[in-house]
Amino acid sequence: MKKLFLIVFTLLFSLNLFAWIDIEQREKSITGFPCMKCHDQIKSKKINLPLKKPHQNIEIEHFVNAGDCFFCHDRKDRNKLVLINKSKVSYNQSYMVCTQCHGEKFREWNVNIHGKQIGSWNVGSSTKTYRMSCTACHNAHSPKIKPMKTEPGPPNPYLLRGRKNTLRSGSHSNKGHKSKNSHGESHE
Amino acid sequence: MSKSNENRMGKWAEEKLNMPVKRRGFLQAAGLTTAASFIPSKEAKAFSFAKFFQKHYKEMTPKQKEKAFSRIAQETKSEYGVEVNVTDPLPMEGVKYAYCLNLSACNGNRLCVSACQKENNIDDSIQSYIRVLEMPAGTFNLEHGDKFYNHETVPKKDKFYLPVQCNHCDNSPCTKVCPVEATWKEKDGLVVVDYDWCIGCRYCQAACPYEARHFNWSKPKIDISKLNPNQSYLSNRIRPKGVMEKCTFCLHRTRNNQYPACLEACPTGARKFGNILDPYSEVSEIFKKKRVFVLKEELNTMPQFFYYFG
Repeated sequence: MKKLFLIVFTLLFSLNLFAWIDIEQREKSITGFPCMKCHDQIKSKKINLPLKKPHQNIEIEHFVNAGDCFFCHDRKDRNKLVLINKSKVSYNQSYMVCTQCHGEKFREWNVNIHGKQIGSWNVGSSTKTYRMSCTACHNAHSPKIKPMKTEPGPPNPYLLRGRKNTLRSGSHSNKGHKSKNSHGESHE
Repeated sequence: MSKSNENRMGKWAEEKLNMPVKRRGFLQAAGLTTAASFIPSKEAKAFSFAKFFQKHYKEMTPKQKEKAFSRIAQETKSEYGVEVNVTDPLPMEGVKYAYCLNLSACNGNRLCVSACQKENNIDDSIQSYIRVLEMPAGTFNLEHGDKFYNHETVPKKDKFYLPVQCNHCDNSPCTKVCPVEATWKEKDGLVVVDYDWCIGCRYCQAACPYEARHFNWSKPKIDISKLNPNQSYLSNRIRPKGVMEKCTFCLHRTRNNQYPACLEACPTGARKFGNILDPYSEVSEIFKKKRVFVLKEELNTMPQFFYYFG
C-alpha cells in the first residue's frame, strides 16, 4: 500500500513539473456530467452487469474479467473514479486509472511519445500546449481504436483512363445492339 | 459555277504570289505583327514590372520584402477576390525541426492529407503534399505501395500505411540541381522554394527520391470559401502557374510555435514534431527510446523525417 501510494505521489509530482502543458479536461466532454445528478437518487448499492437503461449500450471489451464497474468507478461518489489503493481520482485525471496497468504507455505519454498533443511544439512559449488524455482517443470501455472512414485520395490518372475506355466500349456495345435489332427486324 | 470560282481564286493567288515584295510593305507588316504581339491579352495579367525586377528572396531587404508581400496580397485580391495577409516568419535561433511518425499508430485515414490541402491552399490536381502509401504487411518496397487506395473504412487486414511527404533532407538532392537556386535549405532545416524565382524546369522533381515535389501545371483551382488567408511568402501563399511546390512543415505555423496542420489533424497521434536541438522535446525523447529509421537511407540524403514502430 505504502509503495503504491509513493508511486502515485511521484507520478503526480512528475506531472506537476509539466504544469505548463494543459491536459484535456475530461469532465467537460462527458454528457450529463455530474453523475450524481441521477446516481444520488438510486439507492440500491449493487448494480451489476447487465447494466440498467442509460448505460445499456456500453460495450465492454476491456478488462472483461474485472466483472465489476466498481473496479474503476467509485461505488458511492459516482463523480469520481477509484484507484486500486482506494483513493479517489476525478475524471480529469482518468489517466491515473489507466496507468495502474499500462505503466509503460503512461511513461511514453508523459514525454509525448504516445498520444496526441496540439497547440505549441515549443513548450513554455506564448502559445499554449494541450495534451489529450487517454480517453480522448480511446474509449475506456473498449479501447481498441475502431476502423475509420477514409478521406479521398489523390486524383488517379489510371482510373480516369479506365473511365474513358469504358465510355468507348459502351458506345461500341450500343452500336452492336442496334445492328442486332435491325437484323432481328429484317428477319421478321 | 464552282469551277469558274476556283479558277478565279487560283488566278488571284497566282497574282499575289508573283507580286514583288516591296521593302516598305514588308516593314509595315513586320512592325504591325511585332506590335500586336506586345499587346497584353486578357489572361496575361500576371506580368508586372515589380515582379520581373524583384530580387531573390535571400537578397531582399526588409523594405523590398514588404513591397513584394503587398504586391502578392494585391494580386491575390484581384485574381481571387480574397484579402490575405502575407507574412514572412524568420527561422528561430537554436531550433532545427524534425518529424517523427509512428507507423504502428497510423491507420491510413488520410485526415492529414485533407488538412494539408486546406492549410496550404493546394490545387485539386496536386491535392496534397502527403501521399499515404498502402503497403502489404511484411514488406518495405515503396514501389509496391498503393497511394490511390479507396476503402470505406481503414485499416485493412494485412496492410500497413506509410505517409510520405518532404523529408527536408540535410543532404538534399533537390536543392543541388536547381539551376537558378530557387530552392534552398533554411537555417532551421526547412527546404523552401521561392515561387517567384522558380523557372519551372522540374529538375528538383526528378532529383527528389521521395516524390515530394509537385508541379503546378495550371493556375491553381482553389475553393475560395476554404482559402486560408494566413499566408507566408515561402509556404502557403497561392502559387502561380508553372512553379514547383512542396511541404514546408507548415512554416507559417511552426515558426510561430504552432504544430503543423497534419499533426493536429491526425486522430491517432501517430505524428510527432519538435525541435531536435532541445533534449527534452518529443523528437529527442523518441530518438532516445525508439528505434527510428528513414526512407532510402542508402541514398545518403540524411532525411529529417523519421519513422518508428510502437
